[in-house]
Amino acid sequence: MKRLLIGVALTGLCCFLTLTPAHAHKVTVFAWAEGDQVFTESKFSGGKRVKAGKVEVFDRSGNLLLEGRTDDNGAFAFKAPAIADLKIVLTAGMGHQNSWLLSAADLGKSEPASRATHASPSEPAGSETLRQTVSPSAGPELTAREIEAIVARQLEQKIKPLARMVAASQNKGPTMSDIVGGIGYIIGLVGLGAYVRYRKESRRP
Amino acid sequence: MHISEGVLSGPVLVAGAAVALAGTAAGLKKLELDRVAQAGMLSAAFFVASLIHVPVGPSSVHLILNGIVGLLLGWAAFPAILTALLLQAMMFQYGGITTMGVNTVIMALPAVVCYHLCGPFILKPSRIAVPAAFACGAGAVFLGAVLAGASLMFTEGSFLEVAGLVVTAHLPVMVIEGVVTVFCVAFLRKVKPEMLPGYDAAVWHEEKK
Repeated sequence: MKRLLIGVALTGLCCFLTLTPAHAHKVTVFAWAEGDQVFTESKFSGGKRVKAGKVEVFDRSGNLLLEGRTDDNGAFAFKAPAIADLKIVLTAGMGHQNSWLLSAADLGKSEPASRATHASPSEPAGSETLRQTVSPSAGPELTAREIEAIVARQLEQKIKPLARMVAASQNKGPTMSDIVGGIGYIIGLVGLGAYVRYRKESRRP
Repeated sequence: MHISEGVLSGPVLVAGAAVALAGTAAGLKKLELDRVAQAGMLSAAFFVASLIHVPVGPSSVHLILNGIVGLLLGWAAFPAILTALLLQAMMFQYGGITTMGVNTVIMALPAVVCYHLCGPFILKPSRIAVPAAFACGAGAVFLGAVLAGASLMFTEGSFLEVAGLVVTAHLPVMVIEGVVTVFCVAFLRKVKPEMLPGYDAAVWHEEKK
């Protein structure tokens, strides 16, 4: 009996020692764009970074555009190959995979090509009025396009910490309520089993 | 050992779901209503065990406890593990709904195999029972890793490479689970031997004398 107790204590200690912050068994990938640069961050559940995980970028119809590997911080950055919806797929080995959709709208804002196309029809009128309104204070050289670029750059700088915060909060390990909730479901099922069993018994003559 | 959505090919998913369904049906048929509570407790233990992580190299693995679940439940390990996996997928986003079948087979099939291979020796004298219990706990994890490798080989290259990787990563878990199973069996032999497979009151008390 004493030996058994020591054994149980040892196993308990073993379990306790291994109860370090939760890793693995779920990976997440998060991506955001700054101009035409796309940044990705990959983590296991609990916040451990994915090292050397394979990142593949697909377009909407499933064609592989480019691929790469995450560095020691789980980061991987690339220049967007096209202004289109991008699907970023992370494969971290042993069957762990997740993906992130980056829409064309996230990418397009400060890309010259797209801006030129959708700004050109309204440009003459728009830039004319803007030039008139800003000319007294900012000088006549600023066009609507330049202002747009400045604002976009400033916004990106302000949003960067927010994007990182969102990336960091993307992944919290299982919470206590998840665990207790799961056990509750199981106890409920057991209760259902007990109900069926005793109903059968009470029907017996 | 939970395989995520989108990693496996269609045929593997369908085959996994079919085997899981058959196993669950067999398990439910063999599970007497008196043992539902026991199955529920073991299902809950399995559910929580996946939160106990063992850091190994770049990745990390967690306890599975499928050996002990199989040993005590036999075929009923299928419904117990399926329930726990469903809840893990819902609550922790481990694995996924489409891979539910494959994941159930990866963890429950070794449990049943170990039940049949090691179960008969568990109530023998302890010099036989202790190695058998260790083999049950460690073997269930090993077979699970091999099955995981097998299901990944169609999408991630050669079987030996993938299975080797998964097995190596789970070596510490095998040792821990082997030890845990030995202590569980030792405890149950003293306290409640009727929970162990193949228990026969007359034979057991005869052997004890």
